[in-house]
Amino acid sequence: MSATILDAPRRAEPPFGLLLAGLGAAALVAAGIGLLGDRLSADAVAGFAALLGTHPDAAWDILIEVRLPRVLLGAMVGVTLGLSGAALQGWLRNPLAEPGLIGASAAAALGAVIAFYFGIADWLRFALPAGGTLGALVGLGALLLLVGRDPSTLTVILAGVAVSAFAAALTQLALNLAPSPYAALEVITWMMGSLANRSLEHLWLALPLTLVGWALLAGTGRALEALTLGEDAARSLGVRLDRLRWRIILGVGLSVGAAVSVSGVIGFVGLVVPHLLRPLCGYSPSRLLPASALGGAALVLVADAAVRTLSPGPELKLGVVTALIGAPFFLMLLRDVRRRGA
Amino acid sequence: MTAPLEARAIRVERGGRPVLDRVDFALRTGECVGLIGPNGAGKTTLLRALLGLQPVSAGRVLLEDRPIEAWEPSARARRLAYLPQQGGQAWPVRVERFVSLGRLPHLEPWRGPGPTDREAVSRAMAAADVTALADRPVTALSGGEQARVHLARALAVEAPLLLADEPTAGLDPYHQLQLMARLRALARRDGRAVVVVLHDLTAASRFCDRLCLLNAGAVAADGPPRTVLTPERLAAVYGVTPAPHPLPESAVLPWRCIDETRRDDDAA
Repeated sequence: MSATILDAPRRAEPPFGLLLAGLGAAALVAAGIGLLGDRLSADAVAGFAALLGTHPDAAWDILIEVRLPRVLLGAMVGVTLGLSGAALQGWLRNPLAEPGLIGASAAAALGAVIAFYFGIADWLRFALPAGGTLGALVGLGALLLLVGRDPSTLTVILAGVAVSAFAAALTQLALNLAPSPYAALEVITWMMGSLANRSLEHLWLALPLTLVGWALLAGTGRALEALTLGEDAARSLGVRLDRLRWRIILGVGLSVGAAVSVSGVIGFVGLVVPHLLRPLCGYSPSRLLPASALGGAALVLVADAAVRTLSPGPELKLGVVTALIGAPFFLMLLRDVRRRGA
Repeated sequence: MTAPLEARAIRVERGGRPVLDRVDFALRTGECVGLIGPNGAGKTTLLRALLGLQPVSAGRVLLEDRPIEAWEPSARARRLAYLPQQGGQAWPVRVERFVSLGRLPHLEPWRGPGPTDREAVSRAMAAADVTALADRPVTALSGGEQARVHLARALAVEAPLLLADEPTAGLDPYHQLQLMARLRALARRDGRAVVVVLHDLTAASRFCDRLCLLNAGAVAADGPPRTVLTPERLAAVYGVTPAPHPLPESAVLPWRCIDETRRDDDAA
């Protein structure tokens, strides 16, 4: 078979198992770095080793109560964002889709802020993730109403912008009406998105809803695969599009809602990870799901380690850093899409 | 002979206006039926209704004597393959993987394609003449090549019934003839049944066992090509008339494949 110019720029596709193993290994290494120390340096590691020698109980407490929750939450949030981004991009057949862009994150933040604001979160611990999830589901429900029977990419993204803007406005309203400036400050800081100072309790609160969301999204692979051919052809292959839509809305709503309510908004991970991994998965939407989940975990953990180690002065918020890197990436992607369309 | 796929007096409305009205259609095993008619006659709507993709407001569609909407989607998909008019290709997937999407209705949950599926895929790729393109990204192909890849995808389902919407559009003459011969062989030799939407009346009369002529949402004629394509009907429905022999302009008509004269082409 003769190679043509069109074949030339195509990158080789690694064996799928190897890709998953590599991404998993990257996530594990990043998690290990997170467990080693708050600020990664030879001194910190040596200090911790010394503490392990003199006060092993205290050292274990630090590891289990402080560092482990942060790493586990990072992995959970990363898997959620990677998986949701991959599912949404496959469903909308658009590389620009991600939970933040279709309004799920902003609506989840609103739900969590409402739970904060009315003090429900104080007397009912489960109210925070439940509020975030409810917010995300209401936001996605509004998106579906706006989109109506025409779920073309353009309408979905425009509706996402509208839902995001409205949720953000309501969040601002809640802040505006906040009884004390401290309450407002607390909410603003939380919304920037961070994994710092979280406990294992946060994990237990968010995990059940998250797992349900993951399970729903994990089962969409075959339908997403068929959607590569367009909607009519996919339906003729036995895909139930209405069922797929509910699976994705519920899956993204539950998992992103729960993630946002423990970590705040961490943007662009759901956009960048599927996009970078897609060529390595041979552009197969179903293979992209597990790859993107592992890649999301690896990226969030690496970014969190970087934030802790490289921050000058006070620790930067993870969400701020991902947005700083992610927004230019999004612009680059937009330029590529336009160039291909032209 | 019973008809595995049948539409009985179906009516489809869009915006309160009937797009199809009291349309009867039956597809029998072993036949290749051409669905013809002017633009907007309702050909695509009829195909989509036969597939269960288009709800009908009256009448019913029966697949193997069961209402189409009562079928479990993947069981229906194994019996009834569809080649849409506008094929989509959302991602630059390799041609071989793209064609193997046709095997999705056959796969067990959470399982990849097995040896049977891979054989079906390579048969379909050979039949649509895209084996040489196997490793190319589908988005980098020309329109005609993409049309053949979509055909291969639909053939890979290996369903007893195939509904194809204008599969010859965008193909060069060689591949048009090859495709039509292929569809006819599918019906005659492999005992399947094919409905093919066509605008090329010459090809329709050469390759189809039966023609169904739609006009303004109703069946204007249904039968062997000779009885359907009468000069009066062509004039009434299409506003065209058969050209005189020999043509006053210089034109080359009709043609045949150079390497296909022995087998599938017009020898029958």
